[in-house]
Amino acid sequence: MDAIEEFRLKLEAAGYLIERPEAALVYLSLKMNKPLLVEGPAGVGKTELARALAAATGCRMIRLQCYEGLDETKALYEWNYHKQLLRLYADRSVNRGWDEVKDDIFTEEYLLARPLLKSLISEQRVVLLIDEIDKSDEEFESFLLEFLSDFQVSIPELGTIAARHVPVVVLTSNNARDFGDALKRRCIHLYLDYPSYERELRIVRLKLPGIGERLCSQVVRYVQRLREEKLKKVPSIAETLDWAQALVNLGADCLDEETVRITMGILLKYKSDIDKISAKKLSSLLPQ
Amino acid sequence: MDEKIVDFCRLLRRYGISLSLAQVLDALRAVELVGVDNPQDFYQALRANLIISREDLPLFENLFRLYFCRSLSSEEPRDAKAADTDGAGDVSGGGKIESVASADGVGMGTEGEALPQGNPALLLVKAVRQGDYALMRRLAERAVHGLGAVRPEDFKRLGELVARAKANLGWEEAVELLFPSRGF
Repeated sequence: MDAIEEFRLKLEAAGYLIERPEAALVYLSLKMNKPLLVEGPAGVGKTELARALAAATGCRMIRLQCYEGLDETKALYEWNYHKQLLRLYADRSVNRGWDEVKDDIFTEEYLLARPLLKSLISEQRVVLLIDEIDKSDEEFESFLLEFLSDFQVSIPELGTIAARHVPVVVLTSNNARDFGDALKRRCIHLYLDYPSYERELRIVRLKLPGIGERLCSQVVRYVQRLREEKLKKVPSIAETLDWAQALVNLGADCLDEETVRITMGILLKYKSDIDKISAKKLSSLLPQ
Repeated sequence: MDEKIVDFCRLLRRYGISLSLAQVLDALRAVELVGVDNPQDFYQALRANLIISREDLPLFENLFRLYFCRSLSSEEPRDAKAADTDGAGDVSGGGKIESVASADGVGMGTEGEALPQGNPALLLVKAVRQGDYALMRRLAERAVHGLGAVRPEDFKRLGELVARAKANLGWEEAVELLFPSRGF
Protein backbone atom coordinates (compact mmCIF):
# COMPACT_ATOMS: atom_id res chain seq x y z
CA MET A 1 0.00 0.00 0.00
CA ASP A 2 1.39 3.39 -0.85
CA ALA A 3 1.57 6.44 1.39
CA ILE A 4 -1.47 8.15 -0.10
CA GLU A 5 -3.69 5.12 0.33
CA GLU A 6 -2.48 4.73 3.87
CA PHE A 7 -3.29 8.34 4.54
CA ARG A 8 -6.71 7.98 2.92
CA LEU A 9 -7.52 5.10 5.26
CA LYS A 10 -6.45 7.20 8.23
CA LEU A 11 -8.96 9.86 7.20
CA GLU A 12 -11.63 7.19 6.82
CA ALA A 13 -10.80 5.85 10.24
CA ALA A 14 -11.35 9.39 11.52
CA GLY A 15 -14.86 9.20 10.08
CA TYR A 16 -14.28 11.01 6.81
CA LEU A 17 -14.99 9.16 3.59
CA ILE A 18 -12.75 10.44 0.87
CA GLU A 19 -11.76 9.27 -2.59
CA ARG A 20 -8.22 8.81 -3.69
CA PRO A 21 -7.83 11.98 -5.83
CA GLU A 22 -9.00 14.19 -2.98
CA ALA A 23 -6.92 12.28 -0.47
CA ALA A 24 -3.87 12.80 -2.67
CA LEU A 25 -4.38 16.55 -2.50
CA VAL A 26 -4.76 16.63 1.27
CA TYR A 27 -1.69 14.44 1.53
CA LEU A 28 0.27 16.80 -0.69
CA SER A 29 -0.69 19.87 1.26
CA LEU A 30 0.43 18.17 4.44
CA LYS A 31 3.74 17.02 3.02
CA MET A 32 4.49 20.27 1.21
CA ASN A 33 3.49 22.47 4.13
CA LYS A 34 1.22 24.30 1.74
CA PRO A 35 -2.16 25.54 2.95
CA LEU A 36 -5.10 23.51 1.68
CA LEU A 37 -7.81 25.64 0.13
CA VAL A 38 -11.08 23.74 0.14
CA GLU A 39 -13.77 25.20 -2.08
CA GLY A 40 -17.26 23.99 -2.74
CA PRO A 41 -20.92 24.56 -1.91
CA ALA A 42 -22.06 24.82 1.69
CA GLY A 43 -22.46 21.59 3.55
CA VAL A 44 -20.30 19.24 1.51
CA GLY A 45 -17.95 18.62 4.41
CA LYS A 46 -15.22 21.22 4.09
CA THR A 47 -14.98 21.98 7.79
CA GLU A 48 -15.43 18.31 8.55
CA LEU A 49 -12.37 17.53 6.47
CA ALA A 50 -10.23 19.78 8.66
CA ARG A 51 -11.55 18.04 11.73
CA ALA A 52 -10.77 14.62 10.29
CA LEU A 53 -7.33 15.80 9.25
CA ALA A 54 -6.64 16.85 12.83
CA ALA A 55 -7.82 13.50 14.12
CA ALA A 56 -5.83 11.57 11.52
CA THR A 57 -2.61 13.43 12.25
CA GLY A 58 -3.11 13.55 15.99
CA CYS A 59 -3.08 17.34 16.03
CA ARG A 60 -5.29 19.70 17.93
CA MET A 61 -7.49 21.87 15.77
CA ILE A 62 -7.65 25.64 16.15
CA ARG A 63 -10.45 27.33 14.30
CA LEU A 64 -10.74 30.85 13.07
CA GLN A 65 -14.20 31.68 11.80
CA CYS A 66 -14.07 34.53 9.32
CA TYR A 67 -16.68 37.23 8.99
CA GLU A 68 -16.88 40.69 7.58
CA GLY A 69 -14.96 43.06 9.79
CA LEU A 70 -12.73 40.41 11.29
CA ASP A 71 -9.50 42.13 12.23
CA GLU A 72 -6.15 41.38 13.78
CA THR A 73 -7.31 41.87 17.34
CA LYS A 74 -9.78 39.05 16.93
CA ALA A 75 -7.63 36.88 14.70
CA LEU A 76 -4.13 37.39 16.04
CA TYR A 77 -3.80 38.92 19.47
CA GLU A 78 -4.84 41.78 21.69
CA TRP A 79 -3.59 43.14 24.95
CA ASN A 80 -5.54 42.20 28.01
CA TYR A 81 -6.48 45.74 28.82
CA HIS A 82 -8.38 44.95 32.01
CA LYS A 83 -5.57 42.96 33.45
CA GLN A 84 -3.11 45.71 32.60
CA LEU A 85 -5.31 48.24 34.36
CA LEU A 86 -5.60 46.05 37.41
CA ARG A 87 -1.88 45.72 37.54
CA LEU A 88 -1.42 49.47 37.39
CA TYR A 89 -4.01 49.92 40.09
CA ALA A 90 -2.42 47.31 42.32
CA ASP A 91 0.95 48.93 41.90
CA ARG A 92 -0.24 52.46 42.51
CA SER A 93 1.35 52.75 45.98
CA VAL A 94 4.71 51.61 44.71
CA ASN A 95 6.55 54.49 43.22
CA ARG A 96 7.87 53.25 39.92
CA GLY A 97 8.89 54.96 36.75
CA TRP A 98 6.84 54.52 33.61
CA ASP A 99 9.57 52.62 31.77
CA GLU A 100 9.63 49.99 34.45
CA VAL A 101 5.86 49.64 34.54
CA LYS A 102 5.65 49.53 30.78
CA ASP A 103 8.10 46.64 30.66
CA ASP A 104 5.89 44.79 33.08
CA ILE A 105 2.51 45.19 31.53
CA PHE A 106 3.51 44.51 27.95
CA THR A 107 4.66 40.97 28.51
CA GLU A 108 3.20 37.64 27.48
CA GLU A 109 1.25 37.51 30.68
CA TYR A 110 -0.96 40.34 29.44
CA LEU A 111 -1.28 39.07 25.94
CA LEU A 112 -4.50 37.46 24.72
CA ALA A 113 -3.56 35.06 21.98
CA ARG A 114 -6.22 34.68 19.30
CA PRO A 115 -6.39 31.68 16.93
CA LEU A 116 -3.56 32.67 14.59
CA LEU A 117 -1.10 33.43 17.35
CA LYS A 118 -2.24 30.35 19.26
CA SER A 119 -1.36 28.21 16.29
CA LEU A 120 2.17 29.61 16.32
CA ILE A 121 2.94 29.29 20.00
CA SER A 122 1.33 25.90 20.54
CA GLU A 123 3.69 23.29 21.97
CA GLN A 124 2.49 20.76 19.41
CA ARG A 125 1.77 21.09 15.75
CA VAL A 126 -1.84 22.08 15.19
CA VAL A 127 -4.34 22.08 12.37
CA LEU A 128 -5.35 25.69 11.81
CA LEU A 129 -8.77 25.92 10.20
CA ILE A 130 -9.50 29.32 8.67
CA ASP A 131 -13.16 28.88 7.93
CA GLU A 132 -15.07 30.78 5.25
CA ILE A 133 -12.20 32.97 4.20
CA ASP A 134 -14.43 34.43 1.48
CA LYS A 135 -16.46 36.19 4.19
CA SER A 136 -13.54 38.24 5.48
CA ASP A 137 -12.60 41.49 3.80
CA GLU A 138 -9.69 42.26 1.56
CA GLU A 139 -7.67 43.91 4.28
CA PHE A 140 -7.70 40.79 6.33
CA GLU A 141 -6.86 38.75 3.29
CA SER A 142 -3.63 40.62 2.69
CA PHE A 143 -2.75 40.30 6.32
CA LEU A 144 -3.39 36.57 6.08
CA LEU A 145 -1.22 36.30 3.00
CA GLU A 146 1.67 37.69 5.00
CA PHE A 147 0.96 35.39 7.88
CA LEU A 148 0.87 32.33 5.64
CA SER A 149 4.15 33.14 3.96
CA ASP A 150 6.23 33.72 7.07
CA PHE A 151 4.38 31.99 9.87
CA GLN A 152 5.57 34.64 12.23
CA VAL A 153 4.09 37.81 13.65
CA SER A 154 5.59 41.00 14.93
CA ILE A 155 4.24 42.44 18.11
CA PRO A 156 5.77 45.90 18.49
CA GLU A 157 6.13 45.68 22.27
CA LEU A 158 7.45 42.13 22.30
CA GLY A 159 9.25 41.57 19.06
CA THR A 160 8.81 38.81 16.52
CA ILE A 161 7.20 35.54 17.40
CA ALA A 162 7.99 32.70 15.02
CA ALA A 163 6.09 29.44 14.79
CA ARG A 164 7.30 26.69 17.09
CA HIS A 165 5.75 24.26 14.62
CA VAL A 166 4.40 25.39 11.29
CA PRO A 167 0.68 24.67 11.51
CA VAL A 168 -1.24 22.57 9.01
CA VAL A 169 -3.48 25.20 7.45
CA VAL A 170 -6.89 24.50 5.97
CA LEU A 171 -8.83 27.37 4.38
CA THR A 172 -12.42 26.94 3.32
CA SER A 173 -14.48 29.03 0.94
CA ASN A 174 -18.01 29.01 -0.41
CA ASN A 175 -17.05 31.37 -3.17
CA ALA A 176 -19.07 34.21 -1.69
CA ARG A 177 -16.49 36.51 -3.17
CA ASP A 178 -13.49 35.88 -5.30
CA PHE A 179 -10.28 36.49 -3.48
CA GLY A 180 -6.85 37.44 -4.62
CA ASP A 181 -4.65 35.36 -6.87
CA ALA A 182 -1.67 35.78 -4.58
CA LEU A 183 -3.42 33.91 -1.81
CA LYS A 184 -4.71 31.27 -4.18
CA ARG A 185 -1.29 30.63 -5.63
CA ARG A 186 0.00 29.86 -2.19
CA CYS A 187 -2.48 27.04 -1.70
CA ILE A 188 -3.21 23.52 -2.81
CA HIS A 189 -6.66 23.55 -4.34
CA LEU A 190 -9.32 21.06 -3.52
CA TYR A 191 -12.84 21.33 -4.91
CA LEU A 192 -15.37 19.34 -2.99
CA ASP A 193 -18.69 18.78 -4.68
CA TYR A 194 -21.86 16.99 -3.70
CA PRO A 195 -21.13 13.30 -3.33
CA SER A 196 -22.12 10.61 -5.78
CA TYR A 197 -25.00 8.31 -4.87
CA GLU A 198 -22.67 5.55 -3.69
CA ARG A 199 -20.53 7.85 -1.63
CA GLU A 200 -23.46 9.56 0.02
CA LEU A 201 -24.92 6.16 0.82
CA ARG A 202 -21.70 5.20 2.55
CA ILE A 203 -21.64 8.49 4.45
CA VAL A 204 -25.18 8.02 5.77
CA ARG A 205 -24.42 4.44 6.78
CA LEU A 206 -21.25 5.53 8.52
CA LYS A 207 -22.88 8.37 10.46
CA LEU A 208 -26.17 6.61 11.22
CA PRO A 209 -25.27 2.99 11.73
CA GLY A 210 -28.79 2.19 12.92
CA ILE A 211 -30.58 3.18 9.71
CA GLY A 212 -32.39 0.51 7.69
CA GLU A 213 -31.00 -0.38 4.30
CA ARG A 214 -34.22 0.42 2.46
CA LEU A 215 -34.77 3.80 4.08
CA CYS A 216 -31.14 4.72 3.63
CA SER A 217 -31.08 4.14 -0.11
CA GLN A 218 -34.46 5.85 -0.57
CA VAL A 219 -33.33 8.90 1.38
CA VAL A 220 -30.13 9.26 -0.60
CA ARG A 221 -31.83 8.71 -3.93
CA TYR A 222 -34.47 11.31 -3.06
CA VAL A 223 -31.88 13.90 -2.04
CA GLN A 224 -29.85 13.22 -5.17
CA ARG A 225 -32.98 13.82 -7.23
CA LEU A 226 -33.68 17.07 -5.40
CA ARG A 227 -30.19 18.30 -6.28
CA GLU A 228 -31.11 18.10 -9.94
CA GLU A 229 -33.98 20.53 -9.42
CA LYS A 230 -33.49 24.26 -9.82
CA LEU A 231 -33.67 25.36 -6.23
CA LYS A 232 -32.47 28.34 -4.27
CA LYS A 233 -30.56 26.03 -2.01
CA VAL A 234 -30.27 22.34 -2.70
CA PRO A 235 -29.82 20.04 0.29
CA SER A 236 -26.25 19.31 1.36
CA ILE A 237 -24.83 16.25 3.07
CA ALA A 238 -25.57 17.80 6.43
CA GLU A 239 -29.24 18.02 5.47
CA THR A 240 -29.30 14.46 4.20
CA LEU A 241 -27.99 13.33 7.56
CA ASP A 242 -30.43 15.50 9.52
CA TRP A 243 -33.32 14.23 7.44
CA ALA A 244 -32.29 10.60 7.74
CA GLN A 245 -31.91 11.04 11.48
CA ALA A 246 -35.35 12.61 11.74
CA LEU A 247 -36.91 9.78 9.74
CA VAL A 248 -35.25 7.21 11.95
CA ASN A 249 -36.55 9.05 15.00
CA LEU A 250 -40.04 9.02 13.51
CA GLY A 251 -39.76 5.29 13.15
CA ALA A 252 -40.09 5.32 9.39
CA ASP A 253 -38.66 2.37 7.55
CA CYS A 254 -39.38 3.69 4.08
CA LEU A 255 -40.41 6.94 2.41
CA ASP A 256 -44.00 7.79 1.65
CA GLU A 257 -45.61 10.99 0.50
CA GLU A 258 -46.97 11.99 3.89
CA THR A 259 -43.67 11.49 5.71
CA VAL A 260 -41.82 13.47 3.08
CA ARG A 261 -44.38 16.28 3.32
CA ILE A 262 -44.07 16.77 7.05
CA THR A 263 -40.29 16.54 7.12
CA MET A 264 -39.61 18.60 4.01
CA GLY A 265 -38.49 21.58 6.10
CA ILE A 266 -35.41 19.70 7.16
CA LEU A 267 -34.24 19.30 3.59
CA LEU A 268 -35.22 22.61 2.08
CA LYS A 269 -34.63 25.89 3.84
CA TYR A 270 -36.57 28.28 1.62
CA LYS A 271 -40.32 28.42 1.45
CA SER A 272 -40.21 28.99 -2.29
CA ASP A 273 -38.21 25.78 -2.68
CA ILE A 274 -40.66 23.82 -0.57
CA ASP A 275 -43.61 25.21 -2.53
CA LYS A 276 -41.92 24.35 -5.79
CA ILE A 277 -41.27 20.75 -4.83
CA SER A 278 -44.68 20.31 -3.19
CA ALA A 279 -46.38 21.57 -6.35
CA LYS A 280 -44.49 18.97 -8.34
CA LYS A 281 -46.46 16.14 -6.85
CA LEU A 282 -44.05 14.70 -4.37
CA SER A 283 -44.62 11.16 -5.46
CA SER A 284 -43.04 11.81 -8.82
CA LEU A 285 -39.76 12.27 -7.00
CA LEU A 286 -40.28 9.30 -4.76
CA PRO A 287 -38.24 6.23 -5.50
CA GLN A 288 -40.21 3.44 -7.10
CA MET B 1 10.51 14.46 -15.98
CA ASP B 2 11.28 17.85 -14.46
CA GLU B 3 12.04 19.30 -17.87
CA LYS B 4 8.82 17.94 -19.28
CA ILE B 5 6.84 19.52 -16.48
CA VAL B 6 8.57 22.85 -16.94
CA ASP B 7 7.90 22.58 -20.65
CA PHE B 8 4.26 21.79 -19.91
CA CYS B 9 4.08 24.90 -17.71
CA ARG B 10 5.38 26.94 -20.60
CA LEU B 11 2.60 25.52 -22.72
CA LEU B 12 0.04 26.52 -20.07
CA ARG B 13 1.42 30.02 -19.99
CA ARG B 14 1.25 30.25 -23.75
CA TYR B 15 -2.45 29.45 -23.50
CA GLY B 16 -2.96 32.29 -21.06
CA ILE B 17 -2.81 30.49 -17.74
CA SER B 18 -0.58 32.65 -15.60
CA LEU B 19 1.80 30.83 -13.30
CA SER B 20 4.24 32.07 -10.73
CA LEU B 21 7.68 30.58 -10.45
CA ALA B 22 6.76 29.32 -6.99
CA GLN B 23 3.82 27.43 -8.47
CA VAL B 24 6.03 25.69 -11.01
CA LEU B 25 8.51 24.74 -8.29
CA ASP B 26 5.67 23.49 -6.13
CA ALA B 27 4.37 21.38 -8.99
CA LEU B 28 7.79 19.79 -9.32
CA ARG B 29 7.96 19.11 -5.60
CA ALA B 30 4.46 17.64 -5.65
CA VAL B 31 5.31 15.27 -8.49
CA GLU B 32 8.39 14.22 -6.58
CA LEU B 33 6.13 13.34 -3.66
CA VAL B 34 3.48 11.37 -5.53
CA GLY B 35 5.70 9.88 -8.21
CA VAL B 36 4.60 9.14 -11.75
CA ASP B 37 3.34 5.58 -11.37
CA ASN B 38 -0.24 6.57 -10.74
CA PRO B 39 -1.48 8.84 -13.54
CA GLN B 40 -4.33 10.16 -11.43
CA ASP B 41 -2.03 11.26 -8.62
CA PHE B 42 0.26 12.81 -11.17
CA TYR B 43 -2.62 14.75 -12.70
CA GLN B 44 -3.81 15.93 -9.28
CA ALA B 45 -0.33 16.98 -8.24
CA LEU B 46 -0.06 19.28 -11.25
CA ARG B 47 -3.62 20.54 -11.22
CA ALA B 48 -3.67 21.39 -7.54
CA ASN B 49 -0.58 23.56 -7.80
CA LEU B 50 -1.01 25.11 -11.20
CA ILE B 51 -4.70 25.91 -11.55
CA ILE B 52 -6.11 28.58 -9.29
CA SER B 53 -9.39 29.31 -10.97
CA ARG B 54 -12.01 26.85 -11.94
CA GLU B 55 -12.57 28.46 -15.31
CA ASP B 56 -9.11 27.35 -16.40
CA LEU B 57 -9.84 23.74 -15.57
CA PRO B 58 -11.24 22.56 -18.94
CA LEU B 59 -8.33 24.13 -20.77
CA PHE B 60 -5.89 22.57 -18.35
CA GLU B 61 -7.48 19.16 -18.77
CA ASN B 62 -7.23 19.33 -22.51
CA LEU B 63 -3.66 20.53 -22.53
CA PHE B 64 -2.77 17.89 -20.00
CA ARG B 65 -4.24 15.23 -22.25
CA LEU B 66 -2.48 16.56 -25.28
CA TYR B 67 0.82 16.68 -23.53
CA PHE B 68 0.78 13.60 -21.35
CA CYS B 69 -1.95 11.60 -23.04
CA ARG B 70 0.04 8.57 -24.05
CA SER B 71 -0.32 6.61 -20.87
CA LEU B 72 -3.42 8.13 -19.37
CA SER B 73 -6.10 6.69 -21.59
CA SER B 74 -6.67 3.59 -19.51
CA GLU B 75 -7.18 5.46 -16.30
CA GLU B 76 -8.42 8.92 -17.00
CA PRO B 77 -8.21 11.68 -14.48
CA ARG B 78 -11.53 11.75 -12.78
CA ASP B 79 -12.19 15.43 -13.39
CA ALA B 80 -11.59 15.03 -17.06
CA LYS B 81 -14.89 13.91 -18.41
CA ALA B 82 -14.98 16.27 -21.32
CA ALA B 83 -13.74 15.79 -24.83
CA ASP B 84 -14.10 12.14 -25.52
CA THR B 85 -13.97 11.46 -29.18
CA ASP B 86 -14.61 8.09 -30.61
CA GLY B 87 -13.46 7.07 -34.01
CA ALA B 88 -10.40 9.24 -34.04
CA GLY B 89 -8.17 6.34 -33.29
CA ASP B 90 -7.18 5.54 -29.77
CA VAL B 91 -4.41 7.24 -27.95
CA SER B 92 -3.54 4.45 -25.61
CA GLY B 93 0.03 3.54 -25.12
CA GLY B 94 0.15 1.99 -21.69
CA GLY B 95 3.13 2.16 -19.43
CA LYS B 96 4.57 5.16 -17.70
CA ILE B 97 3.78 8.74 -18.37
CA GLU B 98 5.78 10.12 -21.21
CA SER B 99 5.24 13.28 -23.08
CA VAL B 100 4.65 13.58 -26.76
CA ALA B 101 7.08 15.48 -28.88
CA SER B 102 7.90 18.94 -27.64
CA ALA B 103 5.19 21.52 -27.45
CA ASP B 104 7.14 23.66 -29.84
CA GLY B 105 6.78 21.16 -32.65
CA VAL B 106 10.29 19.83 -32.47
CA GLY B 107 10.30 16.31 -33.76
CA MET B 108 8.02 16.85 -36.69
CA GLY B 109 8.00 13.78 -38.82
CA THR B 110 8.76 13.60 -42.50
CA GLU B 111 6.27 12.79 -45.19
CA GLY B 112 5.63 9.19 -45.83
CA GLU B 113 2.78 6.84 -46.50
CA ALA B 114 -0.50 7.91 -48.04
CA LEU B 115 -2.94 9.95 -46.02
CA PRO B 116 -5.42 7.77 -44.11
CA GLN B 117 -9.01 8.10 -45.23
CA GLY B 118 -11.71 9.42 -42.95
CA ASN B 119 -13.31 12.49 -41.50
CA PRO B 120 -10.57 15.17 -41.64
CA ALA B 121 -11.66 16.68 -38.32
CA LEU B 122 -11.25 13.37 -36.53
CA LEU B 123 -7.88 12.83 -38.19
CA LEU B 124 -6.82 16.26 -37.05
CA VAL B 125 -7.90 15.53 -33.50
CA LYS B 126 -5.96 12.30 -33.62
CA ALA B 127 -2.88 14.04 -34.99
CA VAL B 128 -2.98 16.69 -32.27
CA ARG B 129 -3.60 14.22 -29.48
CA GLN B 130 -0.83 11.91 -30.57
CA GLY B 131 1.54 14.73 -31.33
CA ASP B 132 1.81 13.34 -34.85
CA TYR B 133 3.30 16.33 -36.63
CA ALA B 134 3.78 14.44 -39.88
CA LEU B 135 0.06 13.72 -40.04
CA MET B 136 -0.73 17.35 -39.20
CA ARG B 137 1.44 18.52 -42.02
CA ARG B 138 -0.14 16.16 -44.52
CA LEU B 139 -3.62 17.19 -43.41
CA ALA B 140 -2.67 20.83 -43.92
CA GLU B 141 -1.28 20.06 -47.33
CA ARG B 142 -4.44 18.29 -48.34
CA ALA B 143 -6.51 21.21 -47.12
CA VAL B 144 -4.46 23.61 -49.24
CA HIS B 145 -4.62 21.32 -52.27
CA GLY B 146 -8.37 21.32 -51.83
CA LEU B 147 -8.40 25.02 -52.70
CA GLY B 148 -7.59 24.16 -56.30
CA ALA B 149 -5.44 26.43 -58.43
CA VAL B 150 -4.57 29.61 -56.59
CA ARG B 151 -3.69 32.64 -58.66
CA PRO B 152 -1.55 35.50 -57.37
CA GLU B 153 -4.54 37.89 -57.27
CA ASP B 154 -6.32 35.43 -54.97
CA PHE B 155 -3.91 36.39 -52.21
CA LYS B 156 -5.77 39.67 -51.87
CA ARG B 157 -8.49 37.53 -50.35
CA LEU B 158 -6.12 35.61 -48.12
CA GLY B 159 -8.52 35.55 -45.20
CA GLU B 160 -11.13 33.88 -47.32
CA LEU B 161 -8.61 31.31 -48.58
CA VAL B 162 -7.58 30.46 -45.08
CA ALA B 163 -11.22 30.11 -44.08
CA ARG B 164 -11.81 27.70 -46.97
CA ALA B 165 -8.70 25.68 -46.13
CA LYS B 166 -9.85 25.49 -42.54
CA ALA B 167 -13.23 24.25 -43.70
CA ASN B 168 -11.50 21.55 -45.77
CA LEU B 169 -9.54 20.56 -42.71
CA GLY B 170 -12.61 20.30 -40.47
CA TRP B 171 -10.96 22.90 -38.28
CA GLU B 172 -13.98 24.13 -36.35
CA GLU B 173 -15.17 20.63 -35.59
CA ALA B 174 -11.73 19.53 -34.44
CA VAL B 175 -11.31 22.54 -32.16
CA GLU B 176 -14.72 21.86 -30.69
CA LEU B 177 -13.72 18.25 -30.04
CA LEU B 178 -10.37 19.18 -28.53
CA PHE B 179 -11.50 22.17 -26.53
CA PRO B 180 -15.22 21.73 -25.94
CA SER B 181 -15.66 24.75 -23.72
CA ARG B 182 -13.75 27.40 -25.60
CA GLY B 183 -13.39 28.06 -29.25
CA PHE B 184 -10.53 30.02 -30.67
